[in-house]
Amino acid sequence: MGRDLKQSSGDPLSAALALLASSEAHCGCDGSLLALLREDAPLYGGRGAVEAERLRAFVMARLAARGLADTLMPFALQELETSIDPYGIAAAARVIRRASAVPQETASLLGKALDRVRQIDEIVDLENYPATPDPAGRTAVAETIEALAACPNGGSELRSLSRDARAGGYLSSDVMALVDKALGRIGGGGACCAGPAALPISATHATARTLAGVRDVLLENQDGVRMTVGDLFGARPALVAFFYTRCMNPDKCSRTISQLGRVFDELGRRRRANDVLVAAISYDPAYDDPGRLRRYGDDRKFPFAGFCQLLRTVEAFDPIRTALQLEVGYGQNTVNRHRLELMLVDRQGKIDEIAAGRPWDETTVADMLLAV
Amino acid sequence: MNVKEYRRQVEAELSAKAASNARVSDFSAKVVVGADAPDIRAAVSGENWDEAIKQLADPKLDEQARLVALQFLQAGTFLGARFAPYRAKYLAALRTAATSADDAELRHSALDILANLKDDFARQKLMDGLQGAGTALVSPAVALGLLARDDHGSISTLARDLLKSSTDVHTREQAARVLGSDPSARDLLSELMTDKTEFSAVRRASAVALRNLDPGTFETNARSILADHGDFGEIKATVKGATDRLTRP
Repeated sequence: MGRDLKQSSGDPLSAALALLASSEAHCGCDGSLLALLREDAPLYGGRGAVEAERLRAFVMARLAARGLADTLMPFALQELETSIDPYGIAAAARVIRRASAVPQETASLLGKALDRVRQIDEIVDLENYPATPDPAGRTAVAETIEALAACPNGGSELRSLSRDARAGGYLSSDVMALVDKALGRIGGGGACCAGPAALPISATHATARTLAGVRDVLLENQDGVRMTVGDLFGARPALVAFFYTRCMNPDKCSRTISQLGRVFDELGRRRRANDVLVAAISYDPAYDDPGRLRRYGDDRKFPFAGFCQLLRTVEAFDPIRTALQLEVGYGQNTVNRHRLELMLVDRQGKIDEIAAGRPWDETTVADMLLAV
Repeated sequence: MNVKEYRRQVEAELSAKAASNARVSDFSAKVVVGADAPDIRAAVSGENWDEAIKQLADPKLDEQARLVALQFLQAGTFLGARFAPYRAKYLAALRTAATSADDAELRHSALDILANLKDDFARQKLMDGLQGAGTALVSPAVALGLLARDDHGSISTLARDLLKSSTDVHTREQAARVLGSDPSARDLLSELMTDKTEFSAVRRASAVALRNLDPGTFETNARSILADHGDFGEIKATVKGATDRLTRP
């Protein structure tokens, strides 16, 4: 299982490592194991963002190794779509290689992940935590290429990569040899057993969550104007996202706010901007004061208006996080991990979740909002 | 020792130094210096980068040569996509240099680059050094300064502990800087900023950190300091400058 950590017994990490090391092949504890991948799992609490990322990648790789790769596919796809860490991408690649059925979109997602990871490549160690990468070990790029070889349509991506990399010289000779070897294995076609089509990106699913229990929570917007959750929501259907201004991943919070702004712009073009509310609430209210909210929105051309706002809670964020079961974890200073969260809220405060952690499309979401 | 012996000894030492300087100047000649550098493409070839990576990672090599190899490679990183194929091995060599070098400058240089990249290996080594769980590769103040670059790191607790326990001005100053990304440290930073018994450098670092976290409280404290005839010139100069530049939403 790799090197054990020097951790005291009873802490979340020790408990997680013990669960992962469980000698039972089918312990009936799959639910507990999968819970280790939640962004707010206790074992990531208090850790820095990079540290949490590495730990989660290790957990994902271990779960894949113990036969849960097919169940892990949604987590792997999310990493391929948005991760900017070589370990996150490498762990997702391990899941793909071990899965028995891989969605058709996977090769394309691996190709995009490869484009990101080759600029930030490093040797990875997914067998141990803390990682002790061997200078002769495998890199995240190599892991991604191996995963491509295991995918439906992977051959097509690899051929394209081989051609572009030879022309541009942006892969090392070792990695080019790996690409050639993978293409040799694949031959004329891709891997067998193309899996199910991916879940539509902007599908909604109903939840049992509502804003009923947090109506009295006080919010403050980018202009310092205060209102309760009950005041803000309830008069009209709403689209709500969550973010924080210190997010370092351009494909998460920055993109979310930009897209939210474009949704509101689209509604304006349809002359429906007064019929709905578009809002985003900060995960990090202690840091994201009104001035920061305003600057963050301005930098992303967010069309601030009465029904288009960036907000923070005046007191702690916990009540909202708990009521809406948001997947967000915290280090000592700020957020360390979070999922993409987008919700439709009806006039009664009932919530549908959109996209389940995946990127989404503005036009489709605008349609959904108007249909609420 | 007779004169001949002494001369032979000095000549041997000078030869060794010349050989080392030759290795240094191998890469020095290849470092691109300005637009007039001849044959730039040849200078930054992959073959040279591979060789430089080997030299950086070689603990037996002269440390000045390793340092020049590091500088050559770091210059290469500015070439973006062209250097990308070498990045993984470069990082591995930096980690080796950070932990194997006797020379403090080489260790610090390697850790400096790794800290900018938010390298988790470097983070762990620096933390081990601060917490006594491993060898301290750099001084506590330098370690804190490197770790402070990641505002998503988790060293606030350690920084607070060091503020309670350390009497070293540089360590305390860096600990205050670390807390500039921790909103829950407002009150502590406010206390440090206004404490006339605190080191000036620590007060100034706390003021800058508080200005980032809570401009309102910073400004209140700043006005109080500026109005206090008994307070010191250095802190007044810092808060006056920061207050003048303060822009409120």
